[in-house]
Amino acid sequence: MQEAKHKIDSIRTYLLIYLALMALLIATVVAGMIDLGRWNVVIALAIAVVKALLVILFFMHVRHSSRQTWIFASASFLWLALLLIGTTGDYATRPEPIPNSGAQEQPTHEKSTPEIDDISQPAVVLPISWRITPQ
Amino acid sequence: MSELVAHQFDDLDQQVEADTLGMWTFLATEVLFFGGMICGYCVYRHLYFPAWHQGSLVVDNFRWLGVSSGAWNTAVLLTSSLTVAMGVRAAKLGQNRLLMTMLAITLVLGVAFLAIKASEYTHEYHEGVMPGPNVFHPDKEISRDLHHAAEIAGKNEIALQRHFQLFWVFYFFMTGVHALHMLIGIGLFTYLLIEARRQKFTPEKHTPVEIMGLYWHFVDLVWIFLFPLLYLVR
Repeated sequence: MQEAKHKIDSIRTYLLIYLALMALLIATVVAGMIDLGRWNVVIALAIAVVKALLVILFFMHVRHSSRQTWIFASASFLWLALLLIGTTGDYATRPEPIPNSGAQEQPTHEKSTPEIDDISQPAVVLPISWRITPQ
Repeated sequence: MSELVAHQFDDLDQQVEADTLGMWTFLATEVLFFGGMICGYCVYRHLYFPAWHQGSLVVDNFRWLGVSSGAWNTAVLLTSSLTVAMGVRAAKLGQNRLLMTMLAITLVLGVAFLAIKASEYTHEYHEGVMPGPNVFHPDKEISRDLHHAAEIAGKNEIALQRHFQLFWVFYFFMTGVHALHMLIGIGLFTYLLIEARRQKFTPEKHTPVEIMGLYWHFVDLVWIFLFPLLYLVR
């Protein structure tokens, strides 16, 4: 603990990390020129994560830091991961909405299946039985 | 020694530990702040992919020597992170001249980043993609590309244009907030340079350099993610 606190990395270490970061940047740019379909975004973000880890561990000295610092630094990324995985997981696995599931009850409308892009229409059309009718 | 350590701390090590932890706590809120924007961006990238693809092509098309300005800016920031790390090392070793040199190079690189970003914004303003009343009217070439993209994707062209505008809202907001962080970073490093000139930092008292260095690295970290997200939608 005591010795870890006063640890100073060599210039050589910093230069090597810098070269690795620049190589990864070139890899990102080159990978962006090749059409790999869905894998493009996966590769670009994977490289970004590796770059981020190098910066955090070496430039931000987290690898020499105390346990509390490790917990604080990782907690934020853990919450972020929950946010991203939860939200994108939902959108990625949502089935296509079935238009007009309450069709048998619904009288013919001028436009019963609104485009999701059309802001003049409500995003969700409730089945007729759900609507609140004034008494 | 007693002047160095504030009265609530037992010793210098404890004070340094508390300072570092405090900075990381602040950075945790920053991670979630930028993370929220990135999350929203990812959702709309998924929903409105054709518009995001077109937007990204326009962003990535502003080039110098065949390489997009986003990649140049990443290189500038990574280099500045190296100079910050070297500066912190110099401060720990009490090499004040080297510290001042590193702080000055960092400042120059920070200003270079903002200059490149500003020229990108100017270019995008002239292309008519900056969102806002009476400002957003994409030029003919971009409109033609959007028309083609709508045909290929089988989408309503008006809807695609609206999604395209939303891409630019995200783009300007995310890069704008990042640029604001860069401005603050430049302010902090100017302060550090002035203090270093006045011989304020010693191997015992180098914590301001260390924790403001953490801030600078974090701003670099955000850009490491913004670059592939905004410039490389394929």
